[in-house]
Amino acid sequence: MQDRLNALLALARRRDLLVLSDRYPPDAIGGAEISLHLCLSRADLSQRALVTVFSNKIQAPEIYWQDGVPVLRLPDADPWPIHAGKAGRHTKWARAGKASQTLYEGLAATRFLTTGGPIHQAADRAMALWLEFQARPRGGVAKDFSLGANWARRRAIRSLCRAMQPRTILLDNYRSILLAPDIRRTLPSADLVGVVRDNRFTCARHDQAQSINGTPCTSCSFACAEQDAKGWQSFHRRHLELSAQRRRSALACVDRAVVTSAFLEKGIRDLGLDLQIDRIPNPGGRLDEVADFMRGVAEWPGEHLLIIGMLNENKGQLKFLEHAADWLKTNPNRIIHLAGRGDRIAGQIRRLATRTGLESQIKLHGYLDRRALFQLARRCQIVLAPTVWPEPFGRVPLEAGLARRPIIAFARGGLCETIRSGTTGFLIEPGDYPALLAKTDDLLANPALCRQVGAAAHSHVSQRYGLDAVIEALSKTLTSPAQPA
Amino acid sequence: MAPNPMTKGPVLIISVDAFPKMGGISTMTHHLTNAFAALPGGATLLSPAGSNVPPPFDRHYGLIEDFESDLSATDGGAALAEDARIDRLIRGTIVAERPRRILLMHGFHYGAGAVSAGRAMGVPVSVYVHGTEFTSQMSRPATLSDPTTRGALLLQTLRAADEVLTNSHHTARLVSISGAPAKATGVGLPEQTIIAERRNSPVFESAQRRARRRALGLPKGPLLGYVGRLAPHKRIDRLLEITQKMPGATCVIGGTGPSQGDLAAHAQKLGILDRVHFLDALSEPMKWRVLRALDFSFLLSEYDQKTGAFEGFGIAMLEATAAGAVPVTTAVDGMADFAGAPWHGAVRIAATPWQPARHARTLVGLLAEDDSMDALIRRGRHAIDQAFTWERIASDLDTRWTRPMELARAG
Repeated sequence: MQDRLNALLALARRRDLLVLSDRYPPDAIGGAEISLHLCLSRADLSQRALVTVFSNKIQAPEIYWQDGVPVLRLPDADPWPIHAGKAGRHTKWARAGKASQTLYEGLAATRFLTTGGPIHQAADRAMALWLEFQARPRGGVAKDFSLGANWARRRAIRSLCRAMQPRTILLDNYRSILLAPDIRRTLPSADLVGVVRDNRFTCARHDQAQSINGTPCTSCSFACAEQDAKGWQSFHRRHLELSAQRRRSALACVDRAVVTSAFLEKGIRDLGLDLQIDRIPNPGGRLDEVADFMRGVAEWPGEHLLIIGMLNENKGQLKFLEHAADWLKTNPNRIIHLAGRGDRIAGQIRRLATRTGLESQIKLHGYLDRRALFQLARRCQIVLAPTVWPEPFGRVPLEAGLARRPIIAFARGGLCETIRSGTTGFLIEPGDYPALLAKTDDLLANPALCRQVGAAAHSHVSQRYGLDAVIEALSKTLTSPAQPA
Repeated sequence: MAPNPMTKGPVLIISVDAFPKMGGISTMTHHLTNAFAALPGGATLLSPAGSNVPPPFDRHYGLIEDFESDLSATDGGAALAEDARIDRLIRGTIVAERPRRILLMHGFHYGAGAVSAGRAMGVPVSVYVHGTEFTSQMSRPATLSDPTTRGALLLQTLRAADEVLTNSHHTARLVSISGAPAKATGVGLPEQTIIAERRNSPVFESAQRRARRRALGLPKGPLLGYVGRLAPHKRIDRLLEITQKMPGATCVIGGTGPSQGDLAAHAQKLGILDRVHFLDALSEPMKWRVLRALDFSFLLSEYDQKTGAFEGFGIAMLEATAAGAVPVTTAVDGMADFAGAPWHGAVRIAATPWQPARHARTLVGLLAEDDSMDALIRRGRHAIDQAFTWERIASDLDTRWTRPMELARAG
C-alpha cells in the first residue's frame, strides 16, 4: 500500500500543495467541488497541487488527471461505526459466513468502544451505538465525536502527509477539516488552510438548516434534538454537543479559514476561534465556456421557470410546489423545471403532481451536467430559488446570471450577497410565497425587464465573481503566511 | 454534422429587426414566425441581443437571443469579423435545432454568415427582400466598386442564397434585375387579427364609425387618415390636399418621421390645420382604435429618387381593410398586388395628373352609400383571406419547400 502510494506520488512529483476534498470532478456534482476545480485547473495552481479524495469503490490508491490536475484516490473507510476498517472489509467478512460476520462486527464494536476515542466518552459511544441500532434519530446519529484515531481515513491521511511532505494543505470543506488535528500532529510546520463552504461548523444538525420547523435559530441550544430523537433527546443532544465541539476543535487546528460569503464569515467569527479568516467567493465559471454552451439555444414559448439544486427540504422545492399548485393551474403553459438529484423528494414531487393534476407542468430533469444546465436555463425565462435554509454561499444566482436570466429568491443567507435585489434579481421575504409568485407574475409580464435584469446579472457575475480574481485571491492565500487573527 | 433533410425540424427565421424594436419588419417577422410555429416542426427566431416580445404580442416560437451580436459592425473589416462569428453561431444553431429551412427576414447583418453556414451544413436558405433596403443600397456607386460595403454584401447574400423572396411582384422584378431571381411571396396579417376585426366591424356602417370618432374626441364628419411612418415617399401631402377639397372632413395622421414638420407646414398653407390631427406614434391598441374610426385610409406613395424609397407592398391597406376602413391608393409599385387585379381591394386614384378635387368628389360619392363602402371592404377582406394572411403565406412556403423532399422520398 505504502509502496503503491509512493509510486503514485512520484507521478505527481514536485508538488507542494495537497488539496483534500470530499469529492472532485468528474464524480462531483455540487457547486463547491466545481468551484474548487475551476480554481485548481488554472496553470499556476495545477502545477503545484495534488488533489486527494476518498473512494469506497477502490481497494488500493489510484491516480487520474482532470484537466491537468492530478487527483489521487485513496480507499475510503467502511461506514461508521465500523470505520476503522477500509471500505469493503466488512462485506468480505460477511460473505465468508454468519459466524465470521458476527466475529468481525463484535471485534469492531469492542474496538469502537474501547479505543475509538477518549476513555471518558466511552459511555457516549455506547449510547451512539444504541441510538444507531434502536432509536435511529432523524438524519442519523451525530457521530463526528466518535471518529477516533483508528478511523481509516485518519490513518490514510497521516501516511500520505508523511510520504508527500507538502508545504501547504488545503482542506476543502467540513469532512476534510475534520482531519486537521491529525495533519497538524504529523506535519507541525505545514500551513493548513481550511475552506468552509457550509453551515456545519455553526449547526451540528444533520441538515445544517439553522432552524427548527422553519423557525430560524437565534442561538444554538441543540433544541433540534427534541425534534429529531423523540424520547432519546438527551442522548442525541449530548452527541450533537460533542460533535459540535469536535468540529470546532478541528477548525481551530487550521492556520487560516477561507469562507465564501460574509454570512459564513460572521458564523465562523462568532465561534471565537483564533484564526485568520479570508473571504473568497466561489467563482462564477469560465465565461467563454458558458457562452459556448448557450449559443444558439432557443428560449421556449410559454412561461418556463427553473429551480436549480439538489432536491431536499433545505432547497424547498416541494414546499414551493405545494404553495404554487393553484397558481400553476391558472395557466397550463406555465411549467416548473427542476434540475437536481434527490430521489426521495422527487418521489414526493411526482405524487404531488399526480394528486394536483400538474404532471405536465412539473418537469423533473434530474442531475444535469453544466452544458445541459445552462442550456435549460436559457430555455427558461426566470430562475427561482425558494430556499428554506440559509444558503452558505448561494451559487444558483451566479448560474442564473451567467445564463443572463433573472432570479427570484427568498432572502436567505448567502443569497442576500450574490443577488442585488432590484438589479440582478429579486429578494423576497423568506416564506412569503404569495409575494414570490406575484413577483414572478410581474416579471413574466415584462420580458424587457427580464432581459434587463438578466443582462445586469451577467455583468455582475462577470465582474464580481470572475475566475481570475478568485484564483488570484486563492493563490495569495496559499502562498502568503498567515496573519494573526 | 448536416441535418437530415427528411426530418421536419423547425424553420429557423433570422432577423436583425426584431421586437422590442417596433417597425414593419420586426412586426412581420413576429407574425410570420408565429404562423410557421403552428405548422409541423414549428419555428425558431434568431435575433440580436436584447430581443424580447412585449405585451400584447403572444410568442408561440422559440427565441434565440444572439447575446453576442454587434450591430455596429456594418461594413469593412468589422463586418467581415461579425460575419465569421455569425457563421459559427448559425452552424452551432443548426446542430442544436436541426432546422429544415433558414429564412432570413433581412439580408443585412446576418445575411452573409447565415448563407455560408446554411450552405456548409446543407440547410437551404431563403432571403426576404422588402424593397427599399435593397434599392437604397444599390443606388450607391460604392456598392459596385467596394466588396465590403453593405450593398455589396447584400448583393452577394442574395446571389448566394437558395431562394430570394419579396413582398411584392414589383420588388421581385427589381431584385431579379440584379442577378438574383426573386419570387413574390406577399405580406399578410395574422388570421386572429382578421377574425377579431370582423367581429368588431362586420359591415361598413357609417353611424358606428361616427360613434367611434366621438369616443376618440374627433368630429363626426368624414374621417380620412394615414397611419405609418411619415416619410417623403409616402406622399402624405396628397392626403392633406384631398382633405382640403372635402368640406367637413377631418384628417388624422398617426406616426412619426422626417416629414412631420413639412406636413404641418403644408396643412397650414392649405388652411386646414384645424382639421388635421397629428397623433404622433401610436401604440398597437390605439392604432386599431383609429383604424376602426376611419372612413378612408390613404396610401399614395411613389418612388423617391433621392432616397430610393418606394412602397414595397403597403401593409397599411390590409390593416385598414381588416378594421373596416376603405383603402385609397395610387396602386403603383408594390401596392398593385393588393389594389390591382385580381383582387381590386382598394379605391385606386391616379397620381398624374394630380386632381385632388376630383378624387375628393369620388370619395364623397362612395361615402354617401354604406353599401358601396361595404362592397369594397368585403372585396378587400376576401383578398386577405385568400392571399394575404401570414398563415396562408407560411403554409404556401412550407408546401413549396417540402415538396422536393417528398418527391425525393417517393423516389
